[in-house]
Amino acid sequence: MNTISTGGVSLEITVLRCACFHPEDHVGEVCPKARIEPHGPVTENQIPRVLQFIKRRK
Amino acid sequence: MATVVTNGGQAIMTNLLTGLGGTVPSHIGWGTGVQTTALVTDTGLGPTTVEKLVDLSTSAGTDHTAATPTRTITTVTNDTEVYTGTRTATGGAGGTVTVAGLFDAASGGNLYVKGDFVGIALAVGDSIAFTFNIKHS
Repeated sequence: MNTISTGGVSLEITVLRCACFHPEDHVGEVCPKARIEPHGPVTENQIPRVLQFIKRRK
Repeated sequence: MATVVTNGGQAIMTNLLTGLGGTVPSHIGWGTGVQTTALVTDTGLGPTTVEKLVDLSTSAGTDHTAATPTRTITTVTNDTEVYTGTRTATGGAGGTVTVAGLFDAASGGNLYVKGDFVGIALAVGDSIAFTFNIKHS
């Protein structure tokens, strides 16, 4: 998370990478866009398979 | 980089506090383009940046995202307004977001708070969760 703060005013920014394209950032989460099959939590073991899936789709 | 309550934002506050009128800050917008430090005199997400829809390839019109308002403690109880909301890039291409603002309308409206930051490159499907904090003192 990044925070840009000026006096008493601040803006906090958290980037959420879509699991469809960044599965490594979503281990243990459910794909928010549900574009990959099967949908469900991304595990460490699934990352290579998901990346392969994305590569084939491009 | 800066995050500021704009002069228009001051007007929103005084309007609401006096009961004379006004609309509460409620929606978040974002923009792309060359980052410049946010100024209190700004009335939109320009001038060097351009407000964009969630489809970052489109700058026509506005489609602000609803923000959830809460209050929290910074120094004393409930001295800080908090607005949170998440925008997700859609459309045919991503883009680099360099500015965000809190408005009082879903489309158009008055700019309450503006913040600029180092560009964040988003692919389609990526999101940014924004939290605006405004402490009263």
